[in-house]
Amino acid sequence: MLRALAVVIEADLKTLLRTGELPLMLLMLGSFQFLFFAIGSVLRKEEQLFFQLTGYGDSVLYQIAGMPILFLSIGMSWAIGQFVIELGRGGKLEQLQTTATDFRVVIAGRFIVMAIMSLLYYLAITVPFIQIRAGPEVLSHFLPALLVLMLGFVPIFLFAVVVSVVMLLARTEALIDLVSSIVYTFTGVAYPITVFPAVVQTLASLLPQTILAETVRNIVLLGVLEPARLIPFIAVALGYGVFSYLLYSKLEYSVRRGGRYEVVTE
Amino acid sequence: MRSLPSELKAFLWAFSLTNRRSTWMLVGMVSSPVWAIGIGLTFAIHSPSVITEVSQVRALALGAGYFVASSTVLWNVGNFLVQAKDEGTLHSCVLSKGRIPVMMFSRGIVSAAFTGPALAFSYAVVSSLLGFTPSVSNPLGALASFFMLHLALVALSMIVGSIFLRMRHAWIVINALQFLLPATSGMIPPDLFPSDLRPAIALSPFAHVFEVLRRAVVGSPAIPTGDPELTLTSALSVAALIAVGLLTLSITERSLRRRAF
Repeated sequence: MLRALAVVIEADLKTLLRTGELPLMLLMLGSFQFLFFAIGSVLRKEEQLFFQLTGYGDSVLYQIAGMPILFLSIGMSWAIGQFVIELGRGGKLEQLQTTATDFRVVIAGRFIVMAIMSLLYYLAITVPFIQIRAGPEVLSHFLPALLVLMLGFVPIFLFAVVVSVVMLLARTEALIDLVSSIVYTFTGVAYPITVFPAVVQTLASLLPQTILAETVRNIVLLGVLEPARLIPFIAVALGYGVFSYLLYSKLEYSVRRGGRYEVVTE
Repeated sequence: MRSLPSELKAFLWAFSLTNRRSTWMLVGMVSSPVWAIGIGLTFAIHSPSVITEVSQVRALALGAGYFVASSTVLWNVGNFLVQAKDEGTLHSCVLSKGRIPVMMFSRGIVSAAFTGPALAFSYAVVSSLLGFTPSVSNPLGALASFFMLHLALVALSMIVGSIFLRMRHAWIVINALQFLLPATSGMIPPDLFPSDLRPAIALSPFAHVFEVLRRAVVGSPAIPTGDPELTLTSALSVAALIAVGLLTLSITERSLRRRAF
């Protein structure tokens, strides 16, 4: 199994390097980060009011520390979604499902590659922006932040798997747009979710991005790592793990028992 | 070659059908207001008092709707030539002597059936969520100025669409442009910018066109220009943009016929 995993990782890394997708993605995410940084820096600020709302003094830093979670999550959902759809379009999904190949190994391999790329992105783009704005004193906060971020990739990845499988079952690729908008708006990456009614806040707390963004921000900006924060984090990860496994089983069943899985997407 | 009205009618009919069947459009109706809430709050949160004052909230909600409209037109119209090239339909269009400017303009007209409701829906949802009634000061003026704004966005998409055709990774530029364009032309209420930057925002032709819509919806001005001058500069901007757009596409079409793809 480890050998199969290594093969998938090697193939994925080679594809990324050969197609030149990696620098393009870094360029795009970097330009977004710069755009939010630049616009946020010039806009009029009400720091006192912002502090009362969030407990943080700088709204620009608040957004820079949270935005990577959003970008990585949307990126992961798109990548996993596209990957599963392309497999379906090429007829490879049926091939994988009807042979002895374990599709979960393929997905796990992809996860490892994406986690490596995400860490690379965080170090190459986010860290310099935070350094510029906050100064060198936050440098020591990055190591624990990266560790939590790595842990956080698990529920975010499982969330992406859930989205992909739902997309396949609903047979529409357009669903990803709705998911991206929800992740952007209701996870508190750019502003506190306390501006929304209580019901929305409760639903938002079920999204792994909400917990991850706040935990990472706490570490990077305040240097505070509260172990108690990791409990809901693990609970949400487990929830998504069970949910994605059940959905995956349904998909596998339909492929193995129902014959060819026709992927109708647009 | 078909007559111009006949070709226009054919394209309008074809795009109406494809858009009506598109799940992206259907899902977009739900996701647009969600994006609008997110984008609006992202910029407003730097000055939280903005979300407590009625005219500021309405301006912000309309700005968020403007983002949704410009993003939709850029992807739906601006990216269309690239999409048609990738799918191979651009070849058929050029070989059958179809007019690319007519095709793009028709696509732009049809997309208004989506951007109009998406903008209105976004405005209503953002205003309501922040606790205010989504009223409109001058409904007829708002409708007319929306069409003017939409035409300006379509014209820009025709210009950049030709450029995208020559680019290998146009999606990166579209992604950046969908934020940059509205952000520098009124999506963010100008009084959130420092006073020395505000005159620069007023230089954008899109800021003038959007300002007409803002006055019709919110009722208060954000750019210090009189109504007659603003209407004139907006109308001239839209006319000039359409002229440049059609010209750019004609050049592209000629170049495609001469040098293939």
